[in-house]
Amino acid sequence: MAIDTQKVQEISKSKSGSRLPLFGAAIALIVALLLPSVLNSANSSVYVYTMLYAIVAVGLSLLIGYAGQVSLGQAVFVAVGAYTAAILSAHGVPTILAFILAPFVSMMVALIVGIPLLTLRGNYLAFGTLALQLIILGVVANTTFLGGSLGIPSIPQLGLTSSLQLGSAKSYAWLSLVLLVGVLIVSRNLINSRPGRGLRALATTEIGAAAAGVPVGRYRLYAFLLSAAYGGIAGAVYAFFTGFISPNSFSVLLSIEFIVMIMVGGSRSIWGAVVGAFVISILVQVLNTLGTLHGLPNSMPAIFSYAAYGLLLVVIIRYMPDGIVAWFGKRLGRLTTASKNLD
Amino acid sequence: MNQLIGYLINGIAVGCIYAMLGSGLVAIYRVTTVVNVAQGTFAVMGGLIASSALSFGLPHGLGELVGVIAAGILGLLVGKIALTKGGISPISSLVITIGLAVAAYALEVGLWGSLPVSLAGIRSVLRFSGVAIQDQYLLIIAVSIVIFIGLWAFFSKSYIGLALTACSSNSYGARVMGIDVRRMGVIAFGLGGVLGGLSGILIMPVQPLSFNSDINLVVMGFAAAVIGGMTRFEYALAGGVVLGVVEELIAGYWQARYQLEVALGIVILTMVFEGALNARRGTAAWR
Amino acid sequence: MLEVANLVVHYDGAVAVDDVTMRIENSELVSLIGPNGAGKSSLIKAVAGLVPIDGGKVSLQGRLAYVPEGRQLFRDLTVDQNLRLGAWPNRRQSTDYVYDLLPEIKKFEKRKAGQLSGGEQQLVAVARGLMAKPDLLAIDELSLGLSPLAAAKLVSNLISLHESLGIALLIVEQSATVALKMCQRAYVMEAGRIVKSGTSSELIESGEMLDAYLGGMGDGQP
Ligand SMILES: Nc1ncnc2c1ncn2[C@@H]1O[C@H](COP(=O)(O)OP(=O)(O)OP(=O)(O)O)[C@@H](O)[C@H]1O
Ligand SMILES: [Mg+2]
Repeated sequence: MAIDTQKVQEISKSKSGSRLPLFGAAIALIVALLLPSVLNSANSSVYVYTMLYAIVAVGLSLLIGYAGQVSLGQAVFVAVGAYTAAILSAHGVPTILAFILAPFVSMMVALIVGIPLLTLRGNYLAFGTLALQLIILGVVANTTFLGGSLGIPSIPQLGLTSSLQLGSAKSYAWLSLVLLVGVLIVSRNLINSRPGRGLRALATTEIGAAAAGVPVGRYRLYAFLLSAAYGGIAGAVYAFFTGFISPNSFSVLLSIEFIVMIMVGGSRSIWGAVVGAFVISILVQVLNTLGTLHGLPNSMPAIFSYAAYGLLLVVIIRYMPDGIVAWFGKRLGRLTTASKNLD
Repeated sequence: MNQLIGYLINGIAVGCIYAMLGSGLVAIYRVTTVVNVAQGTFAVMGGLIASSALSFGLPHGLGELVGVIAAGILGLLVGKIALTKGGISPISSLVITIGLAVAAYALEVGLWGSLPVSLAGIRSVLRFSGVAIQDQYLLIIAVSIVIFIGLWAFFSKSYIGLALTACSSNSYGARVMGIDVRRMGVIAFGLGGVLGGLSGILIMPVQPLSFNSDINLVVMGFAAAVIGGMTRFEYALAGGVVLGVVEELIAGYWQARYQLEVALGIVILTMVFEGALNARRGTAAWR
Repeated sequence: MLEVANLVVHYDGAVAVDDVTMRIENSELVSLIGPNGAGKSSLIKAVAGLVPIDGGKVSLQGRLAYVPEGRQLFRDLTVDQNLRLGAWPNRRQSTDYVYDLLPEIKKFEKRKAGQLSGGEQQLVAVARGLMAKPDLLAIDELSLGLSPLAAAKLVSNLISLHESLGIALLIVEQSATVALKMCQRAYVMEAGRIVKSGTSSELIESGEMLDAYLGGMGDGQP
């Protein structure tokens, strides 16, 4: 997360320089499109969660990697989206409308809390967002209207039209893939737009950016709002898909998981967030399988995932601060130049 | 009236715990400008280890001491990992401390399970004119007084305390004197560990702790510290006591369930207000 | 005492000290003169181990104390506490030793270092350097921010210290006149290199000194 000019320039160079990433993305997209039709229902759930994780992580990477602001409470916006979807559809609002409103409500909450919170920086902002999450979760847990600490059961399925209801995990898998692609397109366009370049300048030096005429405060708020909206989208899909939410679904640990994901993938690009979400989901599945092996205590999966999240975060920050993609990329680059020199 | 006295005493005691956690954060922040998210972990680990030490048959006092020492060692370890030799940004170190706090969950759940663990403290209750106060709360206050005097003496009288203050006052100047600033940072983490462990063994008899109690503890400690601008122990003490008393009063006269939320709201407002003040003065309090 | 051979110091690729060779004998008074950005501070910092060396060798017999540019006192600590830290890691070193050498600082031993005037701070910075009982005391920007009178007083203080204790002094100065008057020998640095050296009287007599120094001012920045 060490933020410096040189690296940012490197990234923008490599993006325009080669077709390879685009090619890779196209292949990944085709695989992702085909995958749900061959997965069983349990694996389809994993697929859905991975996509939702990636959506939130992309938003957080806009905030951390581009705007240089660390939020430790990102799960709160997921929660707001999920509760909006659940409460509205419980009160007779068509699910599609509830789904569309969810990101806007998340954004609204982000706007209300963001104006004071974003005056903070660095450590203070990190703790401010963490405190915010504890406050909002605490209030939700104590509000009967919101289901209290028991949560909201039997949330209806998402109906796209009155006749087309999403029922299977498969359909949610495709929906969440479409949403992720949409989120990526919006984010990419934003990054390459004028405000996006301003944001990138923000991550490097805020004072420099301000001196160059970038409206620092406004852009930081935009990044915060957008990341909240992404969280809201993911939260709404989560609510419809699982049919049950409670304050426990959106713990501080979830916020930390998002941090782990973008650190693993690399916080300097939105693709890193996608890679991170993917890697972590796979890892958690593997650990779950190991943890539920015969004869191990019930808490084993949890223990494994705590250890994995924690140690990954430490190792990544210490040894691969730009994430695994950049780390392997660098080593691969060295290898190819070495082999070229041999020729 | 009598009720009020009860609330005040309990509030001061709980506030002392927050202040102790906050002082650990301050000790670390002053030298390293890192906010140590694993501060709550020191309390939980210290308490859990003390409970095991007691159940292995160590006498009271010794068992608790084992917990505090273990927390201190843990602090040194966290410091060694979070402060790299090459030097990384404080916010990166903060993320490392998050990682270590989460990794500690694995150890805690594995060894002690996920249910709250209590510690035998002083069971007796002091009663006077209708007020009933658990003696453990009085013990917390008494020990805190000793600890804060000790902290003051350590930083103003001892040579290593002086060097720690020098690092926070001017870290380049300290380097010129041949003081190893990273090593001082690790020592500060060790001190943070001891303070965290102390708060853990003191609070556990009245408020059992589980592995994930650390988040609330560190946030409340941060709250106390932030009121003092992260750099002054005496302000952290005042901040902690104010928070503790406010919490108890809210719980006593209004609703226990909102005590944490209100306290956290105060903290956010303090930070924002302080930020606005600093912006007007043109100084940056954040790093 | 001190021998520097072919020393090179880089900052992110930019050369600050370029193949510098110099030596200081026991109990010698040597000055290092040069325009802004010549690399004087970088040279001493490399000798003191505060910046990494990218080439060459530094060998030092005895103890070196470095009084850095900008004084770098601990502003929130008292003068006495500042002095005690000068002896780090020797916590038993008594501060009376420097109060005897520089009696004027005894007056403000209990005051916060940040509250002192610039000249007083410079004196404390020198005293803090002396707490290490150095064999070589290197002072960066000796007279910066001091009135001519205060500078002269500090210089005479230092000379008497040198005479009574026999410590060697390396004085970095922008003011060639102060430096040459005070020291036996001088090195002149420009753009990372030593461009002249010799005894002070040689340098003054050659007359080149003033030209070189003034000439270096204009295009001194590499
Ligand atoms: N920390 C640093 N990072 C990058 N460049 C540096 C750093 N410190 C010094 N430099 C550069 O190295 C060169 C030499 O600097 P140095 O401070 O050694 O000069 P100096 O002779 O002491 O100048 P002055 O008389 O102004 O103090 C300058 O060009 C300066 O810009
Ligand atoms: Mg200099």
